[in-house]
Amino acid sequence: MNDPTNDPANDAGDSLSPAEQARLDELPRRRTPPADLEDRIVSDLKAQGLLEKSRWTRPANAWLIAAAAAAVALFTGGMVVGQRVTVRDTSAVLAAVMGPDARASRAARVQETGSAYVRAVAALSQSGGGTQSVDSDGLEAATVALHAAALELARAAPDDATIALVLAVLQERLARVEREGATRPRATIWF
Amino acid sequence: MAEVTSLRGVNSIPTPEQSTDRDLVRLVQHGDEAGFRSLYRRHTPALYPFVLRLVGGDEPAAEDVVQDTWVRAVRGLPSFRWDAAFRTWLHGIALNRVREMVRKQGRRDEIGLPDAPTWTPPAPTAVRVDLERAIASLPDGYRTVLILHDVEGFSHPEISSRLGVAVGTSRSQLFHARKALRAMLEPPQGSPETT
Repeated sequence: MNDPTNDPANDAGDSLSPAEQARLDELPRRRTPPADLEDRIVSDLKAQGLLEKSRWTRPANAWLIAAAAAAVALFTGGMVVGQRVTVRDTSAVLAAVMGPDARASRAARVQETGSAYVRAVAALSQSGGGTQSVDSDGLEAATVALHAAALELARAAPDDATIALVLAVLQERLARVEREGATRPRATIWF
Repeated sequence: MAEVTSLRGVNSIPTPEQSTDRDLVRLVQHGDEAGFRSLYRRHTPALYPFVLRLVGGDEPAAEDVVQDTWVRAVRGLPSFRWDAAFRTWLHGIALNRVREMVRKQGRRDEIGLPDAPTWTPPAPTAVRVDLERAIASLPDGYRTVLILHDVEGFSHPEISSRLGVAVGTSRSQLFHARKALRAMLEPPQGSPETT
């Protein structure tokens, strides 16, 4: 290492040699902090009232929720075999939502519609049969429906981290369906 | 009935990994723990080694500084105007916290004393000294300027602004820091490494 100048106010003559620069560049700029530091800081922030208690506090829980959401999507999609049969049932579902019973509360209508949906997909799962193509169509239809529901829930509760997570999982799933479906005619219909 | 042309929602909500710093900061300002954890995991892997170097490799002290930094950052979010990147702002808080700690411990902060370098580097040993250890053993003021300039890539005017010292002081500190570092890293003449 050389020391070409003794002028402390001018580092232009005190530039690093390539070897020195290389050694400094090799210093790690990122390092995993101690595992418990994050929880300590979160606890501190909560104690000071700067953070509220979250619905999911550990990453493992978040992934559990995401996995559960994905499993629900896949399970429901698997049951929606023979998607064309759903047209009649879906019409009934829509009738339940759009019906003239103005006295029913919104919550009751959601519950009624949800029950009708579950009955419809259960009936489809018992209808049996199904080729790979039909299975894919059913999966797509079920995922689209779940996504639409999750999207509406996210709009209704934009600060709910759990709903946002479920929506993100479904969007990822739909993106995959879109990519896979680019090579075949789309079978999903929307009302 | 109409065919679905796009399966993606209009108001897509991004995952934490897709969220920008602004998105996460907004969540944190509403007290959202998940948002904070995402922000923490994004920035702490760079913040922690920065602080660890500034405090001379003292891990408990570095953890305390990182903790204080995040608490101060969250508390100060309402006043953060995004004139700089969030990372830059966060590192600035950490730097100030380290300097406070140094002063509180009664150690000299040579940054403001350009002409009084009383520290002399330890005699070089026959074994090449690890660069991290050499940086850690520098006086606080030398170490701070060297880290900011040679490791983090700040210019002298930027360092001058951040530390509240003259540009010439920053240059001087860097000169002395490099000189001390070289003295520690160079094996003595005649040792096996030089022959």
